[in-house]
Amino acid sequence: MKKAYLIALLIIIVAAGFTLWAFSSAMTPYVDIRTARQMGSNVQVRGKILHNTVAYDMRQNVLRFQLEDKNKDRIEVVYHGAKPDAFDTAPETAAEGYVQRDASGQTVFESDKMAIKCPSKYDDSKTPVKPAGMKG
Amino acid sequence: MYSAGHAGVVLLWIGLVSAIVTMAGYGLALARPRCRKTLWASRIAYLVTAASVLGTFGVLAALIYTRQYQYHYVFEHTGNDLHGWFRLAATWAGQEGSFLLWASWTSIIGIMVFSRAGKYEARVMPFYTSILAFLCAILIKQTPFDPLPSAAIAALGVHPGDGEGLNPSLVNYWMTIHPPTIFFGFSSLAVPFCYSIAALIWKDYENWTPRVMPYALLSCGVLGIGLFMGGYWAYETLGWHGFWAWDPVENASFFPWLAITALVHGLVVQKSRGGMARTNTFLGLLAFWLFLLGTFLTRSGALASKDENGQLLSVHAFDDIGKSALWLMATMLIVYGGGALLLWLARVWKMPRRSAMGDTLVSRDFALFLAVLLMLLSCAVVTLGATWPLTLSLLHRPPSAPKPLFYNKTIMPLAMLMALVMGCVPWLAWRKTNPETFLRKLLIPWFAMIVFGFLMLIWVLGAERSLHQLVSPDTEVQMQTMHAWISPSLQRVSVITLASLGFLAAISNAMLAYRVFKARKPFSAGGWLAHVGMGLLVIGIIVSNTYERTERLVLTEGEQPVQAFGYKFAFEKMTGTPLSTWPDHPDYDQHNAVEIRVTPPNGESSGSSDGSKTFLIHPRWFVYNLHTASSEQDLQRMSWPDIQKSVGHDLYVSLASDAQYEWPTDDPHQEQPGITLMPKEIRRLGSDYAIEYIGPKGEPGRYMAVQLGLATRDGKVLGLQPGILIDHGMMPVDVAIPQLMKESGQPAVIYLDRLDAATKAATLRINLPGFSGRWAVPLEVTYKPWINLVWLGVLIAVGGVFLAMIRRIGEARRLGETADIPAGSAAAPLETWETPTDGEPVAVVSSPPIAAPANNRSKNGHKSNGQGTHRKGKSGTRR
Repeated sequence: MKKAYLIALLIIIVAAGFTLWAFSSAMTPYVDIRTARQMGSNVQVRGKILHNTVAYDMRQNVLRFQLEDKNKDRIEVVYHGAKPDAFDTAPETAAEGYVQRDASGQTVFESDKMAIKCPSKYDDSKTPVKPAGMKG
Repeated sequence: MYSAGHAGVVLLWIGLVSAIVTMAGYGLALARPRCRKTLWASRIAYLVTAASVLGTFGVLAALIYTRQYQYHYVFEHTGNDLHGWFRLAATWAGQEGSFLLWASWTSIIGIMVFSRAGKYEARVMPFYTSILAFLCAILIKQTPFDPLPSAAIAALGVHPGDGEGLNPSLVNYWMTIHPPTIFFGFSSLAVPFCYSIAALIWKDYENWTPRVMPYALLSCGVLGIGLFMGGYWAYETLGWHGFWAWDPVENASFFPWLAITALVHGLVVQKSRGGMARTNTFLGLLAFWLFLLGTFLTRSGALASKDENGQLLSVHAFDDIGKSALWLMATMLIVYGGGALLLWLARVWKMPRRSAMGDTLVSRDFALFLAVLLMLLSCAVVTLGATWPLTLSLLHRPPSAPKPLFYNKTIMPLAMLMALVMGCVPWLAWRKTNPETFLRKLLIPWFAMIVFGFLMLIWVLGAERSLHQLVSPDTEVQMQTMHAWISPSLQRVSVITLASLGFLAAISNAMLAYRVFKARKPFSAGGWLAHVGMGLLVIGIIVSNTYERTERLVLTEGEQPVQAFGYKFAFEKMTGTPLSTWPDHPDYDQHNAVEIRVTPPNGESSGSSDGSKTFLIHPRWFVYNLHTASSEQDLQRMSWPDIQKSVGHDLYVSLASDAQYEWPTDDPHQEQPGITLMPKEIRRLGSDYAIEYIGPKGEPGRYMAVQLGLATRDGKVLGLQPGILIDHGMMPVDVAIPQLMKESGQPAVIYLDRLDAATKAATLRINLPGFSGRWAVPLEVTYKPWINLVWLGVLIAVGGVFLAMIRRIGEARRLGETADIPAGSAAAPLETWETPTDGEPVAVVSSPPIAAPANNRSKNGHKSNGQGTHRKGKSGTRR
């Protein structure tokens, strides 16, 4: 039954090789904004969402906002897709995409995938009741 | 009240101590097998352990149910808005509660184990009880009975009268049944583990197989249901657009299932042919250990790390577990993993070697060997991907996880091979099969598969064409294919191949299952039936994922219906009752939904007078911490899709983002919504109203407001004073005008959006009857063909597994009456196998051709040939 073992070995080797290839191509490196600007290839950039810069165009389905990484570098993210549920309250996000120069010569981060970091659930400073009749 | 929590802790201590006593007692019973008293004492000690674990669960459930918010766990996981079963289900909403659920199932299953283990009781139970000891220790360290920290009470000011409530994604009927089911499956993995340990220690590699078989099938079936429920939950409510996202937590329950399913197949080989003892002992250990690993992965915080480099990698990762409890968990992982591996390595070289490959490649032995190998490879792939974040965090690297594409790529070829093996195995006999007869028997299913493949090709081409036609050209279409990494034509080939092989698996096994059923052996058909289900599942997965299409559209109140995939979508209304203070923000109503009327492609032509073919669909979103949030930053939104199911496809409708209220403006070219006025300015609003901005007003630093006069057509003038509270973070205050009611029964409303400090220009948002804004609803509509095959396949597969389990329980029971622990090491399993004295003769049961009724033979040449081959195969084995 040497053949059987040979077949098994062959399957294992092919599967392992295929897995390694798939694995290496499925990882997107985490970089800071400066590196992302230099690389131009597909990367993940993590940083703070500057909430006062958020603009969502419902009809075009584009979400634009400024992202600030830990080196205080900023870049405009152009996210194509529905606004994620927790986006408005999320302090941070990791956007996956690439840096591109738009028509006005500015560099923007084109992204179509975002992971949202949720605010921590329990916050000691929380006041329990919201004043009624107010929007804010 | 105060003592209830203490009772829980005391019960845990009792559980821990009596678990240790149980282990010691069984140890003594092993040393002195004649002494029945020690055995009975150990059993009683075990029952005490089980009772105290269940008691602890009862205490926590009671605290949750009676809303004792002075306990931290209760405060965090339940709230006054929970009713009925959810009040109870909140028990397992958190980390500690789910550990307790695990411990409870483990203690219940333990009773089943020791009462059925016969002579193996004293060998198996010490290891089994040690798991309970660990769980008690973890729960003592990380107790759910801690009172609310005094700092939190001080911050709240008062003793809490309400809890934080359950995350709304959990307030769903699945929450009441999914966690108990999946944890039952997880807990039951401990049984094969302990039997495997006992088999290795006492070098009794054969006799554990029939005993462990029912448990392995139980785990496989229950975990299968659990995975199904989780997938359906995700699909139906979480708005992930699919049933499987390769999320680390999903994977953590998937890889133990792969291992236990591999074990089931290995056990079949060992029971029938005596081979694979080494593999099976390993798989028994592996399944439970992988579950521990998965638990560690999802609890350790590696997926939800909060430091600066932290990145949320899973949607439902738990928060960090306490340090000391984490160490206990890690100890458990290392003790059980390392100990078991060392034991296995120490024994494996001297274990009996018996080829599990059969005599030729054309044999059921080799097919099962391949099945186990392929499942192990899939298991390795999934484990590698799922534990990658943990590996990286152990290396102090920023965590990151492979994309779903990785799994899709690697699992697809493995799935193809598995489906092929599944399609062939019914026509293979043990040891060897005459290749010619095998091919002859395969002919009908093979032919059916070719026909199916052609039909698939036609369907695929048609689907591609019609989907492109159905999509309106001006909207964006998302091609969410799971294999975007290959060219479209190659994609088509691989999809058709995989679906056809799935069909082959389904049809081959269905033919055989039918024959076994007809032979009145329904329980022997279980395995074949499970394969039918898996075949359908493969077709469902590949087709629904490849040919699903998403279209985005915006519905506007009062405008023409929008078309997608041939369906017409028209905005009907907002349901739910808005709060009187926020009339135009149904955000703030929990039961808010967008009501959309959908007309199917042929709905109008064939419809009767009332056009009854149209239906309503209600995608929802809501804000869930409205009562506890202090500012908009704290509000959490959550959307909930709605699904219109039909036989061939699902129409999956969800909100692409919150529905927006577009305020009326007197200038359509203005970018900002609302109306901007200068002091003393008068502006006509539509044909019915005029508004005068009299002037600003306010108290510096506290609030700013504007004085307005609103004149209506009938000559009334209303004085209004909308404003913005400065000391509440610039919060606008709505002014409802009850004198002017809209058709919908809501009052007219006006509020101040901005007030320029320098120019005094005020921007107002106004909503009056006859001059009102309208809703614009961004939708995501997804067309999912053949998705019902996924659910159908899983249900058939699980049903098959349970049928097989019933059969194996019967076998184990008969064995329990006759068998004894053989003295010394490996008994003579081949003899046991060759002379079918205990249980059913295996070869007959699992080779259905012989089970086919005799009168069938004359009608069908293939069957009669099958009979001949089978005889050959069997006589070969008996020689």
